[in-house]
Amino acid sequence: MLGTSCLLAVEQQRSVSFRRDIQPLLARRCFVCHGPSEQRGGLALHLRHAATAPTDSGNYAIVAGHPDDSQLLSRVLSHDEQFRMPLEGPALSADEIGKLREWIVQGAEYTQHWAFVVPQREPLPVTGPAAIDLYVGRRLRAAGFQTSPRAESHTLVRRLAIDLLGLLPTPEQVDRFVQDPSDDVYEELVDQMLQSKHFGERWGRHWLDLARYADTFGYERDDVRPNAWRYRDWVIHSINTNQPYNDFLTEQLAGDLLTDATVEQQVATGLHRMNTKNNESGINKEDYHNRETVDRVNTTATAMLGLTIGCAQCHDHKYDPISQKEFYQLYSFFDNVAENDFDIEGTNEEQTRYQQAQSALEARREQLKTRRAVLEEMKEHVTAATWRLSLNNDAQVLTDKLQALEISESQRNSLECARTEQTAGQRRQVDAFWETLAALHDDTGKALAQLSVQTRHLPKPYVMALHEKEEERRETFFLVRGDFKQKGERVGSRTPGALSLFRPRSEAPDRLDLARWITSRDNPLAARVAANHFWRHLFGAGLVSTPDDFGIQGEPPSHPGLLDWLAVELMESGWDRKHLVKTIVMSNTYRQSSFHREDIQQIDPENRLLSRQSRFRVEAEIVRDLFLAAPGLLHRQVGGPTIYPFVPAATEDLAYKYKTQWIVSDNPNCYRRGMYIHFKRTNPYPSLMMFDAPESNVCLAQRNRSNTPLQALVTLNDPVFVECAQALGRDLAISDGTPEERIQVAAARCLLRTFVAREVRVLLSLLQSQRIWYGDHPAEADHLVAGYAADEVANTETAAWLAVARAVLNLDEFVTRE
Amino acid sequence: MKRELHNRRQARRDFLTSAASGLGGVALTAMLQEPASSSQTLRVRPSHFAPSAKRCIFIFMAGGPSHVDLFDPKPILNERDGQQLPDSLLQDVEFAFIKKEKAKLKGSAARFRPRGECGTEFSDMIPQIGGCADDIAVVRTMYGEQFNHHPGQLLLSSGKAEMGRPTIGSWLVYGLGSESENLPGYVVLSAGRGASGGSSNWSSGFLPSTYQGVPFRGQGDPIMYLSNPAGVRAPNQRAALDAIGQLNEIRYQQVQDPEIASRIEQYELAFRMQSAAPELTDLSGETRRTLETYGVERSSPRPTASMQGGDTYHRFSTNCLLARRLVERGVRFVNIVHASWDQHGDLKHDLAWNCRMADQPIAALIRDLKSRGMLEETLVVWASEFGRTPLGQGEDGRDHHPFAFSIWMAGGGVQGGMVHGQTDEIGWAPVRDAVHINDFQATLLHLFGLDHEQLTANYRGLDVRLTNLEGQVVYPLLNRPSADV
Repeated sequence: MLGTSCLLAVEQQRSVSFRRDIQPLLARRCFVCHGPSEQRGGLALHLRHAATAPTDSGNYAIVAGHPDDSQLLSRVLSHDEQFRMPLEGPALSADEIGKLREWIVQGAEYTQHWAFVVPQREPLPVTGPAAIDLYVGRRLRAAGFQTSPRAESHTLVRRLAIDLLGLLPTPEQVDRFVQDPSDDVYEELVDQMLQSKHFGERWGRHWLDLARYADTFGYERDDVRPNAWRYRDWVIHSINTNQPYNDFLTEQLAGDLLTDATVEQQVATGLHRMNTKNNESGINKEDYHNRETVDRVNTTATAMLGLTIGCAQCHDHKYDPISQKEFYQLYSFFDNVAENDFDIEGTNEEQTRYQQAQSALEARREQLKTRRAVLEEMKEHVTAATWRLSLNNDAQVLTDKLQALEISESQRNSLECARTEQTAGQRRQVDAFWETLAALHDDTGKALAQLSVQTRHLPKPYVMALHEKEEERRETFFLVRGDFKQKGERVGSRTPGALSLFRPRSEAPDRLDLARWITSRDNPLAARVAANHFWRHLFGAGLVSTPDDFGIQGEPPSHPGLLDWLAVELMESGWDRKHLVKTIVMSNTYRQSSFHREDIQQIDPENRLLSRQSRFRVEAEIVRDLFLAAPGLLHRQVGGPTIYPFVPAATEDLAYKYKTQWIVSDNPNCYRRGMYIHFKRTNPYPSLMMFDAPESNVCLAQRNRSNTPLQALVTLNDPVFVECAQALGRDLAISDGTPEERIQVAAARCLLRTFVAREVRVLLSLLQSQRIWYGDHPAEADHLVAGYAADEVANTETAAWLAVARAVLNLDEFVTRE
Repeated sequence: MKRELHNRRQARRDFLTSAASGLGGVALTAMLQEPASSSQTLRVRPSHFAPSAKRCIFIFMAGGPSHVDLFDPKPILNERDGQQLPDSLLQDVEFAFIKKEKAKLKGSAARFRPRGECGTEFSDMIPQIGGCADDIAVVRTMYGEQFNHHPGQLLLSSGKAEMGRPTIGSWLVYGLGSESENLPGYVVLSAGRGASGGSSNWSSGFLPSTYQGVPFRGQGDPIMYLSNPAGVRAPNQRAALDAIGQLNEIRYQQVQDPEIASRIEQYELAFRMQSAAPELTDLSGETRRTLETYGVERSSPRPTASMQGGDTYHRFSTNCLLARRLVERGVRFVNIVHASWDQHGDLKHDLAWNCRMADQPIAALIRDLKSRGMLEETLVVWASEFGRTPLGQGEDGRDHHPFAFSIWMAGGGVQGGMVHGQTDEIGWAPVRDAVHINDFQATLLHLFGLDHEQLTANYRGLDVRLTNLEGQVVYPLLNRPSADV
């Protein structure tokens, strides 16, 4: 069989390509009425045998080789509004009709959609990174262009560090490469970074977008999942240890079904515990079982196969060869999964933390219960006096009970006195208190209820996994129009027929069979989709610009041969992710400058031809990470529980009644990376969201990159970011050298380059104006410098340097990967 | 109650024809002209046809206010208080909490009377809103399919009970841009308790965050991180921005990336926002009379058991006044979210407490907009995800009821003084002119001159729109016959 790229080459020699010219046209303009879901007049154009069969009227839409006998052509050519096809929308263009004619002349062959054909490599004169350059160069030259020159050395090292680690490189790494910009040094840097534990964080976070990772369940209650991070740790660890990508997928889909599944392999199944789950009372359980299962199917399809098949939940896919029945056959794989939460020991530290929290909560519960009991007793009595009488003058009992009430000392004193001994004021106080008994009782009840909420949040070490139900297994049905109440025919677990062959281990296929099918060598999608993701994170856009849609509606790859080459490289290397990343970053294509080019801007505004590298603002978490890293505040612990950095007061105003207990993490946890921030679905951490972090309710293959004034407010004014400026400002204030030299320190720390003279002048002038201003306003300087005062430098001077630091950190270049 | 799938053939055809002549979805066209840079995304864009509304104040009464106690009088409920419903009605329905076999009709403590010249009946629990009857169109036959809060709220806000979709305000700003040069185009206000759907109610979904609702806060800065850090005053901030701008400019000359130009612009907008937002929330320029009319200085009465007390009344009133000030400044969409209408129990006190909170400031808002000549172009909406059962729940509650409920609209081209639709004698289901939530959304967009079938955004290969795959404009609600249909 010919490889796709060969096929493509053959097709390019012909004037018409079915896949390039005909199939998209049919899909766009004809399938609505003559496709998989509807066959008006008995005509279906999505399959060759149907398209060439007689229609209801006995005519032939397509007679291969004979355009003039083909009704399809006469109908699209007609000028009669009632007769002309397509009925809806404008007539086909002369070009489109010409292509249809040519295609029929050539025999009306249906070749398969490129992404549904197994990727093969064509013979190339080169291997490794050079293959990438060959493909890119070939296409550019054909368009009459060349690649850009190599990026400046400092830019290249900064790009590498951001792409591979999401961090700034060390000044040593930059110096080394600036002094010796050889391939060997470059490769050493690449290897160093691939070995760094931060590599797993950076690439793990990319995966977590697809996995819809969050620390809460979503929906109304949005309860906390205190152990969700174990799955996040598993992802980081898997990437750091370079677990083969096929195993990475298999364990997440079916880790529990592996022989002697380890705890870690079960943690991996947490992927399909990351879905939203409605814990609201009064829901229809069947409804939500259905929603969760649909989400699991959709997430699997999008993340692993690059398919958007959600529409097949309600009807046959309009364009892709996935029928509604096949959707429910996939659904069937997940229909009998059950949540499997099991306790683990965790580390000693985790155990201690859990036990302490638990004892504290229990103690508090007892206190509240006692309080409620006393209040109940009091409510039985019309006055305080009769209540006191009921205690039979037992002073100790009286004192204990009053103590349990948790009221003010003066109230307690008043209640402790017998009526006759009370002052008039005390009497009034006691009477007033007695009026509030019911309200106090209510409050106590509420506080107890709140405690049970907290019980759910206790840091008990457990694993959120999946397992296969043994008993009361569901039968899976086709759901008419996706409605869980309208069951159609029964279906079994199967994979879509248009893709590769499904070879289950038994008559009753399970998730492990599904995983093996996805990761088999002849699955046309998994490796391509993965390769495209790797590419995307290293170039800002995929070779397929719709990473979640490799179907007919998606964009075809800009470099089909290259995509297939990468996919095969990934599989043949043993699904070695680090190998693929290394191959890409070693290419000259990757190492190009990202400066925009006037010569090609008009022709290729989106840089699909890769005539330069891309330049884009880093992701939400990385904005934070870079800010913390530049002044050295970042705490680089890898993995572990979620953190709670500073948030402004009243952030939860817009949340519902189930508020988070947001207790700001201690130093150094509050300085950990953005990916560890507690993610509450209904009220996510504000500064992350302003920079387009995913909402994490559904699988997300591509983030937006907006540029808004609110982002400017975050990096200028959010105390977390201001602190970074404070720390860096102090460093500048106490460092040696002339102001010019210190300004260069800021450049080196943040941008990993030196400022040119013009830039230095701008900052010098800022420094001078701020020195004068803070000299006149020393109190303001104290406020600004706050906890970052330097012993040997006046705050007025530190404040001026802080202004410089704040400006440099707010440069476009600082938050941009160039 | 099956949705009627209407034939959209003709509309589709028109759209495709216009698309071919280069006049396709306005927003899309505008987007295509700005490939990489997001700087111009709030620029004002023309609508599909002449709009009657330019701004919207969307009062989102989350939780499900009881339509039979507020907008849809059903005297028969009082006559048959405590009686069971015929099985035929109960057959295919589901409740969140009510047990069908025990379900009994529940009378209403509210008294209704005709208001205004139009004579629309309003409950005496909201007398002042009733006083605006002649400006209000009540829709009594709203319905949806979702009987739990969050899914219901998603349906109302984003057209489908699914996460990750853009909300109404996002669609408007995406389609039309915003006239405000120094405030966000889409603002969210809340008085103490947000909706259970949380941020998904003002999310931009798969659209860029440029289009997401920006929550204004009740405490501290009105916009998060609006204030300069301690020790940074306006002149320092200006100096910093000048330096940042100059350095970005130098980089731009070298790199030629339009995104840098955009960032320079965003920093300037942020700076303008820093003065515009405090000016907005500073009510000292409002007259004594205005403050009193809105009830800004009211204190909250002692709350009932499930209500939050505090300064809710004050804050809700303030939000209504802020909403007017926001639309005055060209903000496209203001969402006032208040979630306290979920009366499963203590209906009598709870509902009264909420109505007192809402009644005065909302009526004041309508009158204020009208007296300033702004009501014509400002659409005011009272909406919720569902209503409440004519059946009682527990001692004094009602359960969720999505099969029929009421919302109302005023201004912005809506025909005042009318009631649309009729429910059966107990307020259970529409008997005439049912309006699905998607129909309501289609109508809302129509008022803004937007065709809900044309306003699309491509997501995962599909042209997604606010109204999902449904929605029909409810023309009787419009005060001028449209020539564009």
